[in-house]
Amino acid sequence: MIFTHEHEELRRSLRRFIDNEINPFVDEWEAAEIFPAHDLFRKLGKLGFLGLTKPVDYGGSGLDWSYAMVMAEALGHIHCGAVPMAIGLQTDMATPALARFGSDEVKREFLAPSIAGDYVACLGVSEVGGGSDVAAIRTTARKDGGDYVIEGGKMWTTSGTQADWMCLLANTSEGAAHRNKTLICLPMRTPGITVAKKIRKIGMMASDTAQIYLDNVRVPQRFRIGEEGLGFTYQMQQFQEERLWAGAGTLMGCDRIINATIEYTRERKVFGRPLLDNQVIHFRLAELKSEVEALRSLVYRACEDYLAGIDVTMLASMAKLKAGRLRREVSDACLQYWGGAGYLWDSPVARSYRDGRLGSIGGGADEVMLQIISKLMGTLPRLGNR
Amino acid sequence: MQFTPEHSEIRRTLRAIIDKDINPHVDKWEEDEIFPAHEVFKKLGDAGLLGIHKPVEYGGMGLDYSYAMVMAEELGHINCGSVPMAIGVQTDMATPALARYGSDELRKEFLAPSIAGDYVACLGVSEVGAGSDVASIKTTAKRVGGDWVINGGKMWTTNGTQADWMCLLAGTGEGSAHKNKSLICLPMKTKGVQIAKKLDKLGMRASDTAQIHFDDVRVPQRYRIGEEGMGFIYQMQQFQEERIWAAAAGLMKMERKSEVGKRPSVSLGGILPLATRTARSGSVLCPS
Repeated sequence: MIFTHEHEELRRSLRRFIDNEINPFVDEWEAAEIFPAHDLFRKLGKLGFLGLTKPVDYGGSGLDWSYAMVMAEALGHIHCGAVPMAIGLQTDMATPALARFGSDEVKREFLAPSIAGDYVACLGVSEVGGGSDVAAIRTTARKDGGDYVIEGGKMWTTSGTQADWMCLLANTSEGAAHRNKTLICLPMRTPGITVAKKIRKIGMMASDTAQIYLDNVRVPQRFRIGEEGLGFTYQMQQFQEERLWAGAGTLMGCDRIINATIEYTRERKVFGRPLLDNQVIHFRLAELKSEVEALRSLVYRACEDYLAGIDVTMLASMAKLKAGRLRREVSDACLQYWGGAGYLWDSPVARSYRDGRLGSIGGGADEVMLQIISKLMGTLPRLGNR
Repeated sequence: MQFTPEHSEIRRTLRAIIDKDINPHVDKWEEDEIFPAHEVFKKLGDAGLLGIHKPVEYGGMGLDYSYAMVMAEELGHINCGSVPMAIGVQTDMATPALARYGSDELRKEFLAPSIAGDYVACLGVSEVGAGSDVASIKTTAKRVGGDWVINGGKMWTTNGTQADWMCLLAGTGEGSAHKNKSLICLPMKTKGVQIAKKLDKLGMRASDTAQIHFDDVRVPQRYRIGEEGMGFIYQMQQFQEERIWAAAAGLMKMERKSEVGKRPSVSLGGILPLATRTARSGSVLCPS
């Protein structure tokens, strides 16, 4: 991957922004179990960070996805997982389908303010009974006059208590589970929407994750994204960005924890010498660093293919899989070398341990990635389980 | 391993206390980040469970370690890790050396009430600068008249904010790191003992873990456990019980995973029920 001067400039300016506007407040946001998304997104939006790959007509920069990848990677410099996740959700999970398939009108109404940072977006795919198994969702949107009337609910909705609109996946007809769904822009202040509860999690503390009920919620049909019945397909495409983002977003967080562990174990003297001088420790850290660089190469390669228009389903799924597993491995291995200090709630390595656990669950669980990879390898048995 | 009816009886007795007096309160204790150790220990003490392998003269049952192991295993039935850990500290981490080497007087004063559940014990080995590396602890106890004068501090002390006494490891002489330490029974209300802070941890939320400072803390020399200079050795022996206990206590907790999902309050926990639910809904986890 060849990075240009512009890529480096993006890294530098984002890093400066994180140092000044994010990291000094992270501990406070983690304790408060929420961060001021509107405040922060407006600042990010003003600097153009929320629309790097989005069309210029709606306030974006019209750059290729390598810039989004550089941003995802640089966000790993943030001292928690919750804030990068919320930003990634805004730029690469809830908005790609809208940017790609939305009508001009719906893009003006939802995409432009999301790029500007005036709107906070959330993604409504997972439900109580269907997460990684997207096809199994139960929420319906039924046509009534010029409207959709939506019934059901969503679960695990990141930024769910603060969002202005949701990129909602709902069933709009009977029939095959892959062809009966539609993506709809749903303003979160519409009557009938209840934020049932903010969910208490083991990690990603500064992120507000909500369960949402949708009871007789009415939105105009023009809020539909693209064609009816193509929601599942659009969402699967949108997952490509999400998964590449997850791969890139993991890298620097791993680097950060490994570096912090080097620093800690160099200072910490046990049995008369720095902990780091134990071969079991510096070898382990060398191994982990090698894994991170291998993942980095995979992510960069997937990105290059993606830019070249090649289908990256396999590489993106692999990047997501390895990212989820590696973040857990790095956090757990490093926590061990911090001893009791690593077990303290506020230690950076404990936070990484908690936050990182989500990587193998959210955005398609490891097992779903393995299923996709197996399918593409031609090894997935055909089971009549549906 | 051959278990006797007595082993089963210990399991049953403990299980009844856990079901009635512990598990219904665990969620609240986890939320409170502390559990009422004196209250819980008294119930266990009344049932004889805090002195299973302790001498009968001090209120123990005088049974062999297989009974203690059975108890450690059964503690895994508790719906958290903190409370079993605190009980284990009391029975198998802070008291074995005292039971083995303490003078009669000392055992009457500290062991008997710990077995009865009137006293909560803690173990003072780890420090800010020394945990796994026990030999490098810095806390000292110096002889002044008939007393020890203790200075230094301990870290990661389980039960630290509630304990009545600490089984303290301190340097009592110069010389080689393995032969210059002593174990001392330290009443936690002694002047100069300061609970610096309760630590906020990743887990074991219902357990109060403390950092403790000692500033000219004075206790009589007769509070020493066994011989001077043997503290490191005694502690290494005492670690045997701690480690066997830790292994036994881990077992049932792992098995319990398959049961918690049946409780509606944690409907998302549990592996088997999840698989069952998924299968019911017409698909299976990982069809391949």
